[in-house]
Amino acid sequence: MTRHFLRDDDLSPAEQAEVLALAADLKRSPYDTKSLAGPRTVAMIFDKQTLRTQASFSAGIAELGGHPMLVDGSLAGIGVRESIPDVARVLGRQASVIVWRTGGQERIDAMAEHSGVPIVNALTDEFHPCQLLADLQTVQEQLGRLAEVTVTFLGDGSCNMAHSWLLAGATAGMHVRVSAPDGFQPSPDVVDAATTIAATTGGSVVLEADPAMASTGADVLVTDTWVSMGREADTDHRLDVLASYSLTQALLDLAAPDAIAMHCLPAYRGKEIAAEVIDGPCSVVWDEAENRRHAQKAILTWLLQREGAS
Amino acid sequence: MSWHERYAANIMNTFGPPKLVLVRGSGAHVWDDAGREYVDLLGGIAVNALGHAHPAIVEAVTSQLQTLGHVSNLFATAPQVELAERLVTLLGTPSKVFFSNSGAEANEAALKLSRRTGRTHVVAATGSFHGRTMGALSLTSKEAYRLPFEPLPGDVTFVEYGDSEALAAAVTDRTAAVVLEPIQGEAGVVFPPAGYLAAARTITTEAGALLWLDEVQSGMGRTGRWFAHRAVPELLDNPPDVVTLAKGLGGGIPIGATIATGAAADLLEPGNHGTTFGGNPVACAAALAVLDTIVREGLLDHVEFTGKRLADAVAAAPEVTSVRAAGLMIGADLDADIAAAVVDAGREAGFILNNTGPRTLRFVPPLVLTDDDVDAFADAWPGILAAAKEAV
Repeated sequence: MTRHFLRDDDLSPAEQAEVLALAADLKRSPYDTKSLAGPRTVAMIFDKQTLRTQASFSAGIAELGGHPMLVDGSLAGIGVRESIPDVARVLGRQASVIVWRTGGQERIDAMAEHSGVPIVNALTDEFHPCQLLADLQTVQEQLGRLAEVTVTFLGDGSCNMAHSWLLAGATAGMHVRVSAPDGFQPSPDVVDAATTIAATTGGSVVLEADPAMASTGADVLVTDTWVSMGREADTDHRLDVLASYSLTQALLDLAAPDAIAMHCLPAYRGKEIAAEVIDGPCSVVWDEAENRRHAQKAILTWLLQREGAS
Repeated sequence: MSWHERYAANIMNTFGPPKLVLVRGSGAHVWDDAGREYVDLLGGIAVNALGHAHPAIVEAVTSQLQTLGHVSNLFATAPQVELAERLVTLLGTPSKVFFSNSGAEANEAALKLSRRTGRTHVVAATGSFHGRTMGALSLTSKEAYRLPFEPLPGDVTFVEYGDSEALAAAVTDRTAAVVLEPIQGEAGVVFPPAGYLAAARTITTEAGALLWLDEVQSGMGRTGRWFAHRAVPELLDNPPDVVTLAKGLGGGIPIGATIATGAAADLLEPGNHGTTFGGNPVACAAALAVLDTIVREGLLDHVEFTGKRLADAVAAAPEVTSVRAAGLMIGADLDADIAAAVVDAGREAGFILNNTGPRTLRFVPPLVLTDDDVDAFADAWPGILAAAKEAV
């Protein structure tokens, strides 16, 4: 059966550990694994802006011996000019894997249903699982472990990064805290799913509105832009409400002594994260950005192994 | 005759006269036979994880009892198997479980298991408390508990808790196990120095001895983690060989568990050990309800946050010289021998407190303790201390 990576909990705890171990191996030896030899083609479709995702997938696919095929979502008009099932069938006959950055999760679900090849979510409105693989790899590198690590997500708890931290963190046995104001809470369905996973991994999930309380003792403080792609319309209101959730040095001082600060970028200094934090000694954001390549190579390789194709 | 008189006439005097006759409870509150309400900061000595009369436990026990109450260990039941699976998962390493009915029994099973290594010597720590049955008592350091019952089983060496060098010197190739509490409860919530538990793991591994951690009091969310020892990174990769649990596991329903990991999981063989009630489906259903509720209500983090508030409230008084806290396992030292008077004054003020020594208090309230409960205590705390000082 074709496996996809549409949301973080598509991987079981054991599978997630396997992918992360593979990511670490690929980082150590970037040119030894050729799971896309042929070269096999990976279709990369972008319905939204991208820098890190396009760069890291392109470079990673090349390192795996494959060919990155860039599909411009605005030209393809997926779901408008042509139905998602039709696009899925067409691309599925050209590419070995389809990587898609799009809006609603239902779009990527529909693609997976009809493609016949693995689909990788390169960001939807609901989830950003590739970023989380890179982030977990970074935490593992920095702290030496994932189990029992406490991570606090500050800011817009309803965004894709918060949702992915809930699912991926719980899968890794982490203690995930989301600290967000009213109106910015994570989806109850995602919280429930993460809670259910946490029950099997020894992790935990908590919503704690007070950012100081949520940051206290945390090993990792993480945030994301307050104005995610597609949500630019109500910017002023968002900035007012979220102001006290900015990842500042004061919050970092409340965290564990060796705590790290994370941000998936692009960052807006002075908004969701203070310049002194993102540019300071506790920041690991550049490692995160680099690890996108290694982690994505790992998930591509892992999915193709399940296809019996590599 | 009053309840107190009837108690004195019919119950062995092993605990001294009871301070109160309690008739009901709800959350972290209890009521006595005179109708007075108390905030319970003792939680049945770290037992009532979900407080009193929690609907999840009531429902689990009731429905299990209506279905199947007891079967003996000639048969398996779903709650027993599911609970074992859950505990193994939470420990995060391949393990097997033996169920019993109390912490002392969990430790007895672990002691017997350690004998199956072919060795008999056990190293335990000063300040330790592992139970009152003969085997568990042999590992409990307090002489007042032990001496009246000598000779006890064993070949036990006590070493200073927290002293890695003393531990290394005591462990030999005759040593079956080292038994330690990750945080000592009865001693007044005493933490080992950083690196001690990791050193214990290294020392035992090198000597071929078992590392046995008694998490009877510190386990099951008490410290904001499922197991206190999982705060030690080295033990995540190299877990202990044996972990014992009880107290909070059943949330007030008696249950103990001895979990052995890796090769130690197969040390006990058929005929080596047994129990009539251990693994009873009602007790296991209660424990499953506790685990489910801890997850569903986000209690691990709640414990951490509430524990910090309570520890801060305790520390705010000038009479408090030091506070040691991990989640809702909190010890506090006072500047004079007034701890017993503080417990009495606390009771008068509507708080169930506990002292572990003449100047040491222990707070192990239900994990469901609320911010309001903490605030009420914080308001009353200066008055309690003043009343205690006046009474001494």
